[in-house]
Amino acid sequence: MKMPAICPSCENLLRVSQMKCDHCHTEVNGKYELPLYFKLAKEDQDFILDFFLSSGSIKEMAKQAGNSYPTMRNKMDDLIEKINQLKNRL
Amino acid sequence: MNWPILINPFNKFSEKQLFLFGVASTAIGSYLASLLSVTFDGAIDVHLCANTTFLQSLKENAITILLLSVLLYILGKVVNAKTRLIDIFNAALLFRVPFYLTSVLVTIPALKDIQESLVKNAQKMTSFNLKATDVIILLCLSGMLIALLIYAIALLYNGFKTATNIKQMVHKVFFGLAILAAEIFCKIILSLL
Repeated sequence: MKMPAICPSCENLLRVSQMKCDHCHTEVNGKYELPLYFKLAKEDQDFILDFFLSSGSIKEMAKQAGNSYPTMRNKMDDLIEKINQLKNRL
Repeated sequence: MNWPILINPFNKFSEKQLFLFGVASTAIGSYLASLLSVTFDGAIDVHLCANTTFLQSLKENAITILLLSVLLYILGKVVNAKTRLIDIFNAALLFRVPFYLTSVLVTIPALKDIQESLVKNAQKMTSFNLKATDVIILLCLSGMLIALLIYAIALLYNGFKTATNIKQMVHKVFFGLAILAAEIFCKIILSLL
């Protein structure tokens, strides 16, 4: 199941307010920021994971996805821009 | 028919595939021009010209491609420092493909007959007595030629956009100006050679 990062009502970023241990059922309540990675769309998270798994080679990623190198590099640049914007909002 | 690939092949194909296709098309297009007596005397020009040789046509295409590549590469580098010359060069190579198809269209025999009849009427200073079928042929051909010109510009734009990742309107305006500049410089250089 995909963890939501954006509020479906007002479209602001969501926070973690409760965590639970599945083993002893201890519950922790608080107001925790989501890590930056989880604030990204699923597609962007997958892109970062693919980039990591292809040893940071955009060329290799492009080959696997059946896209050209500049298309993949543009996707990467757009994602970097998105992450910088997210960081500035924090 | 896979339209997205036809309109933007730069998303899918590697630079090597695009380069080989572009070079092969340029050679075939230049050969066709020499067979059909067509000259490419500008970045967006196709005209009939008797005694066009393969080498002359190849030279015209090479000048257009190199000029467009240089102008768009400079613009691309200003917009995005990561722009690669090979991506811009491939866009310029593929931009020419619709013009090679245009050379086939402008030399169809039906058009030649209509042209001769128009010239004859013009010399006699009489009205242009075009048959309904001639008008239909002219309209269809004009539509196809305009569609090919739009396709060529779409190919160049998509290639440039993929190479540079442009998004701002001002960059798109400069792209249009670069095509106009290429047309002017091409005309000047080809008239000097």
